[in-house]
Amino acid sequence: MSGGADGVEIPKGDPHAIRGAGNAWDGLADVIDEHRGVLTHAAGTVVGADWQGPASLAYQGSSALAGIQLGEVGGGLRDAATAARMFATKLRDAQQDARAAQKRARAAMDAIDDAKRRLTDAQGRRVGAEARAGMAADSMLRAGAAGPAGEPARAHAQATYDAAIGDADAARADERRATSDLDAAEQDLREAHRDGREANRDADDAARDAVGAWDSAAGAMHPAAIPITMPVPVSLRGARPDLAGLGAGAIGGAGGLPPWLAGPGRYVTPGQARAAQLARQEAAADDAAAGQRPPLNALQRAGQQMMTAGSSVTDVFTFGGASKALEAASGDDRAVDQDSGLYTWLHSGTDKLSMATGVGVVRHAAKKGAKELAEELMEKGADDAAKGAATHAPGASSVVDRGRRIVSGAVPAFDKANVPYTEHFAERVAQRGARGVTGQSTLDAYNHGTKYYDETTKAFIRYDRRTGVVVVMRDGVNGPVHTAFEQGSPNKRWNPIPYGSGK
Amino acid sequence: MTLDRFAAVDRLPAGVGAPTPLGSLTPAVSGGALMLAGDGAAGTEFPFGANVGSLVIFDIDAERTVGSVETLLPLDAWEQTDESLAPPGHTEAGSLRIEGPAITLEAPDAEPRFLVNGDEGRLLIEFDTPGADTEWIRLSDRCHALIDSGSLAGLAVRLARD
Repeated sequence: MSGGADGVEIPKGDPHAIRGAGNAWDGLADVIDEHRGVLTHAAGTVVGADWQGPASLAYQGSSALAGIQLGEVGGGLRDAATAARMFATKLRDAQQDARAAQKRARAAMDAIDDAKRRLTDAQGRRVGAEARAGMAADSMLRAGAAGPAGEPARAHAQATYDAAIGDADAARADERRATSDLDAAEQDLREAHRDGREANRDADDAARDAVGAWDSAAGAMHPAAIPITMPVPVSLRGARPDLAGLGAGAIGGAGGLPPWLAGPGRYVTPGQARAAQLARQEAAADDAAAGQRPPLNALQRAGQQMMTAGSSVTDVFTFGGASKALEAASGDDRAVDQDSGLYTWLHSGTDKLSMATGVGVVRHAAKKGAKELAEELMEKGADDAAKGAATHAPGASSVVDRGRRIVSGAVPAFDKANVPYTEHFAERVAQRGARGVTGQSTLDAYNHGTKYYDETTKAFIRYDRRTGVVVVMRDGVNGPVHTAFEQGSPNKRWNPIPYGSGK
Repeated sequence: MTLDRFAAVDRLPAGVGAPTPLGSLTPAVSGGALMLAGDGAAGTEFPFGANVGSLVIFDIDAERTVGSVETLLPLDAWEQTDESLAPPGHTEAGSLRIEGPAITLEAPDAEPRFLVNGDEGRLLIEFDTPGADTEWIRLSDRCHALIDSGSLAGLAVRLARD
């Protein structure tokens, strides 16, 4: 391991400074909350009985959305502050553990040196004593050969021999003690190094947790964006930019620019705006050619674009006034789900004409697979809403999958944190609380868990190693929480999502 | 006795209990995936669980009866097969019991297959290839559990209309 001569590395970082940064974030969150309050108050006082109509609806929607996003920024700052304080505490503890290990390692190294010195000394004394005993034995043999005349010399040699043997025995005993002390000191050193490594691992784990928490917090801290805007004027008439070259984000799909930035009227370059306009026109033409309903207008397209599967609902989450504004302007369930009014998912892929809503109504005429069989099953008990929806596409099947419905009020921790979740998730939490899958533990996993992507289920995962709680998102790592369960370690099938990749 | 929170197993130990309303699992769709739930499972807190490959989650009551099964694989990703997924002619009614030395049993390395036969209107979550000795337990008129040598080998579901 790296480190000083004692072999123990002290984790780097200044816990005091990190704690101070957390306090600074809290202060900034207070400012954001104050501004949010001002905004909310202003919206309430401006819009009243005397001002009704599309403009007031749009204003209410914009104000509501801005308030929500400011709330998310404030919440993100507080999450970041909490993460900083937690990291500071854990880093301080790890540094204290490492220093204790360092002290123990240094003592062990001193003991090793002392034992080695004593061992060398004892070995020298033993060798000398054994040599003297050997010489004395020779003398005894020679004196014994001389008969009675040699008796005094033999007796002297005997005494010398006995003394030498005594010295050798004492030296061997010292050798054994020194060897034992050396073994113990070396064991102490190994344990000190192990403690040092564990302290550094604790610091690394704390850093990873903090990174995850800060990443999550950063994900919530988008600049306030009001996506209900008209398309920008386009000056590149006749031009036809390379759509693929602009990236999917430029035309409202996944990847590239984040959807909240790439929404209508929020293009980085005129070329991107022109590309997005062409894409919208082509999509509308496809719909028209397929004999479907008339092309969506700009606002309808805005709602639809916000709600594509590639968009994170955290980014585009709308409700209340904003949702009503979209709904009123669109009058079309392709833009706003008529059932929940919350979240519509444009289903794409094998069946372009199908539309799966968040709650969600599925219409298609594909080869019969598990989903189609399930639809048939569900249709047997389908409620009126599903039956009514089925009439939009004669001959097609339908299924009401209420598990995708975004709900609130069922998991207070998530409501307070403004993290959207589905009805399916709320039911799982209600069923699994005794196993540690609670609103708070799932929120902790959402906020601080390590992020993964499961290619098999096409799901995004956040896993909290401390509690073993897993939360699963279908529509992006910052999307609504779909389900939660518990397991002892990350699945080998999951692929870690690198830090900073966002969604 | 205090149970460990997690215990890893290669296969879920399974047994057969008497038929109960909670153990009478019937299929539903939730969140784009298949759910099996017994009567009264909604709102019931299950103190025990099981987890197969992070793909199938079992909720188990205090009597060790499986009252709810959640699958994580979306229905449109299930593998189509022409092989019959129908149960044998006669099956005994019962409930599925899973019991082990932990609050949550895990088979982390298991790779269950999710099979659908559209012509039959049947699904099968296959944890182990069914054999001649595999026992089919009728949990409900739409769901069977497959048990082989004391382990859960599969869950068979009929979805199509009668």
